[in-house]
Amino acid sequence: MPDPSLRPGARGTLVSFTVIRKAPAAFADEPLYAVAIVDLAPEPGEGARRVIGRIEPFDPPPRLGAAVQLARHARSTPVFAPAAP
Amino acid sequence: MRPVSIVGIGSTRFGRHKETPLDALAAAACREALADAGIAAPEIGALYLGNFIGGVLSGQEVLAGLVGHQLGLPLSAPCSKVEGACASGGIAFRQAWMSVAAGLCDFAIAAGVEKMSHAGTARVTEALNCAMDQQRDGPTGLSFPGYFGMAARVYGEAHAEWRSHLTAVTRKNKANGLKNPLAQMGEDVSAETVEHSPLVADPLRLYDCCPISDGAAAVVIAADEAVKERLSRAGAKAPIRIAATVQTRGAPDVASIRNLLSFEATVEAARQAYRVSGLSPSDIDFVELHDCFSLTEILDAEDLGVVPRGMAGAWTREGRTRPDGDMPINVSGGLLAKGHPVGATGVGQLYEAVRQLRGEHANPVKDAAIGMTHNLGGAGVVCTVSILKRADA
Repeated sequence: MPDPSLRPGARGTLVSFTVIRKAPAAFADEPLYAVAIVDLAPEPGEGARRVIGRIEPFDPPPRLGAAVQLARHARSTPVFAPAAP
Repeated sequence: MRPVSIVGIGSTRFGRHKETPLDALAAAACREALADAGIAAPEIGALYLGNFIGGVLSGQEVLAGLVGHQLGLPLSAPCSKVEGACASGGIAFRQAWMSVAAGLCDFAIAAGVEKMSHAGTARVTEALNCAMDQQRDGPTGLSFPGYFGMAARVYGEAHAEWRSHLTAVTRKNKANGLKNPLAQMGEDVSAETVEHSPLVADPLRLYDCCPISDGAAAVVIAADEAVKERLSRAGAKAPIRIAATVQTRGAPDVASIRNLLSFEATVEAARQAYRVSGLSPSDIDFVELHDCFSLTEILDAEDLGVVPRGMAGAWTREGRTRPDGDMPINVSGGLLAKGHPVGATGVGQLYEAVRQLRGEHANPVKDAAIGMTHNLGGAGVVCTVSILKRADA
């Protein structure tokens, strides 16, 4: 289930990411993908919050600290993309 | 708690043991440890066995009972498998120590075993993922190399020469492994080979990752008061005193880790181990630590306080963590070269430390009297640290 508290377009900064080139068996048939850690910008009345998800695209590699936003969910996993300027 | 020492050790070679079942592999290490201690199976009061993925990869649980049966342990001896991901072995050791230190029995065995090489990389990667939070982290397709790849990228932001730091760890441990007869893959490897090996999880490459291994290790521990009389016998080996053995917990999922360059479970375990033993980092003569990846050795060394924060990469490159350096780390070859049969690793580290303290290691550290071992589970959800010392230290 997607996390209902993660609203579409939620913005954050990229903490780190990696491209998984030796995937666990359940993901072995997927095309290359990148897992990412994102610090979400604090919502009014809330603290900063760190989440794990994916980032697309990842080639060329994004910079750490880059602004990202939630593009969609892939099943329960949030998928982030570079933030619109 | 009464004083307790390691009085016997045993280990299979780490590598491939395709034809040997899990229980037989563990029993072989235990028999060697019993023979080394000069203690018979009927005297053993408890067996704790570290194993992580025997259920998933071999369909075998109740392993400790199978091993106890093979050894002929008394029916009164509890035989328990313990699991804490890659720290299962270290946990088994601490459980066995508690039994003896608390006076429940005079002699106990701590062992660890794993068989992984019969499964392919994708299946092993998936099995190891059992140590991951399966609500948040698992569904992303993350792997453990992936977690440490993300940490390595953060390390690279802080250290412009990050690649040479990681390469130096791999080259040192591979070189150390060449001298260890139990090691799976020691190698005299060039920086170029390391840095051109295939990517596994960017920026980590194949040579940044420990191999997939089978193996078992065991130690026999005893209450000091129970072995006094044995020590006078000709040929008896000096017991190695357990100055501290502690276990801590840490963040269970990636988003709960605030600093990717440190494990809070390790920092706390080191603090507790120094407190319990009354020792400080400057007293430690060598460390066997959990280098599941090249980067991890750097983070661990700094978390344990044996190298100043931020300096472990540079120290490694300067040779200061070699067997003849200021702070020898992973003289055995570590997980990177000796191998990482995950449930056995923590006990294997203790085996190496005892050999070193007895002065019988194939890759000796001069005048080693006090050694530390460090075993980490998952991405730091559990940690054990032990400090061993020679009786005369």
